[in-house]
Amino acid sequence: MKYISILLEYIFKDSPLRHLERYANDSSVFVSARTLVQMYYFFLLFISVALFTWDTSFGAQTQIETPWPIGWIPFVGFVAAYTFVRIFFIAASVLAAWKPHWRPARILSFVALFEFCALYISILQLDVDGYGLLLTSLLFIFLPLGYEKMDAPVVVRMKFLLVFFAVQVENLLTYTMGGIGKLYGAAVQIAAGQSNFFSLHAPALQIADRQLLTGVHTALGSWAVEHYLLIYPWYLFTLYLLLFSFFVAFRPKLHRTWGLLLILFHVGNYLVINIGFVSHIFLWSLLLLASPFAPTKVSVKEFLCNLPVVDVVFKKILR
Amino acid sequence: MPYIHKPETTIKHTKNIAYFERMQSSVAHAILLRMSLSPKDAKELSQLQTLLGIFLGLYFLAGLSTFFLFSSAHDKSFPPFFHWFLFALVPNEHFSTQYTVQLTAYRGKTFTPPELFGEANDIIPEATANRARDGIRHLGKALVAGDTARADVVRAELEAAYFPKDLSWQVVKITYDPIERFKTGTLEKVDVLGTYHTK
Repeated sequence: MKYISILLEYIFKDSPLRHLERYANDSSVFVSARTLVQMYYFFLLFISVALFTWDTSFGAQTQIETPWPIGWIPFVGFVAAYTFVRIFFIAASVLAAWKPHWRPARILSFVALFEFCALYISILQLDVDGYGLLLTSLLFIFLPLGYEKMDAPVVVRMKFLLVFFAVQVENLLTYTMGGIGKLYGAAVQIAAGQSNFFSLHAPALQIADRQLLTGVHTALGSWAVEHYLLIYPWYLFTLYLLLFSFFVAFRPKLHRTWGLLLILFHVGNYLVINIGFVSHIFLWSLLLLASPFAPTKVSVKEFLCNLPVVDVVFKKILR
Repeated sequence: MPYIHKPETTIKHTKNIAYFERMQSSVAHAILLRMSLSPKDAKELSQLQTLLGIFLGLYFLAGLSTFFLFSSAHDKSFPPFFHWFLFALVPNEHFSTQYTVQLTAYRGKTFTPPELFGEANDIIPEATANRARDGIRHLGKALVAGDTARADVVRAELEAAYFPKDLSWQVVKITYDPIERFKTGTLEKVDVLGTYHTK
């Protein structure tokens, strides 16, 4: 029990949860978080219109995969369903951008996004970039009533910041799950005697294979396959970045820099394997680069001494 | 009488702290909300925190479980639950495989060697489309499983969406070393699963 307490204290010692009332009483924090929520719904409105041109020529694909949220599509016909989902998404996004503080608008926005994401991953584009938005919209439903008022009571402000913090945690958790996946995959492949995540040429195998599968030659893909040893340190670092992302939510001093690193991770992936994860780049700009919980200034020493796990070493070196 | 909020610095021991102290486990203690709210507000906040905590825990477990519950590599998702095991496995240099299509003839012109679907931009406008690649993967799997009914459906959809008329093509499973194939185009093995002609 003692060790569990020590571990929990290590994880949660600087958690924004512990200082929620102080944050709630700081108008700059609350107003900043409220603006970020509004910006989030502006972004949904933007992508609801801009992500795709109006094209229904791929209706033949609807029979291949229909995840449960769009299981109804075969019954109404693809063109009608596609038209409905797109217009519903746009209309709900307009409503949520206009009145993000109105819970029915946020619920409608979530449902519309859910339908759109299901359509997106099954028929339009095979990726899960929209899942981060989906989780964010789902949690934002729980934003409290009356948060839009300038004189919102402190309990409303605290509930608001609690939900905002949960969104940060949730999105960071998905990256930790990704890190667990890489460890799991490495363990399976090491046990099978195969090349694995830690193999020196693993980046070259990943990058070459991805380009072959997609048929897209990326800006730095060929260079990266040839010079995989140069990118190997960053490749290894990304495992640390993913695996410990969850814990960073509880360390506000890391928010901004960690957000930058995650964005660089996605930009790097885009340049070598053509996976942009644009929604996630936006989310990290919003949730971490502009984190309302992050202090204005963080010294290099503070940053290093807050890094998950390795902080123990840095604290000894830099004390 | 309505509750009047007081800044936390002026309150040292309030009822809600006592409320939390009664209910706190070691976990609750570690992530305890420090606040000076009325008991009602404190309870509501605590309930919201519990709800969000349960959701996060549920998402973590349900998300990871999709990886182990669903057998197919791409179907391992139950929106909005997803395992996030992206690129968890490193492609193997000895037996990386891919279901694809190779074009053998178009408008009377025979291709020797056959041209792979993803490289045939001059014949197929959407040769690199993700959804085309996914359809081909479904077709390959259906053929390997002997599910001819599903194979026929998927093939018809692919032909309608991507394939030009008067095209002879084969569904193949290729085996290759990714780095070698990327640099030289060499394939180690090509297994033909089905041969078709789009009229």
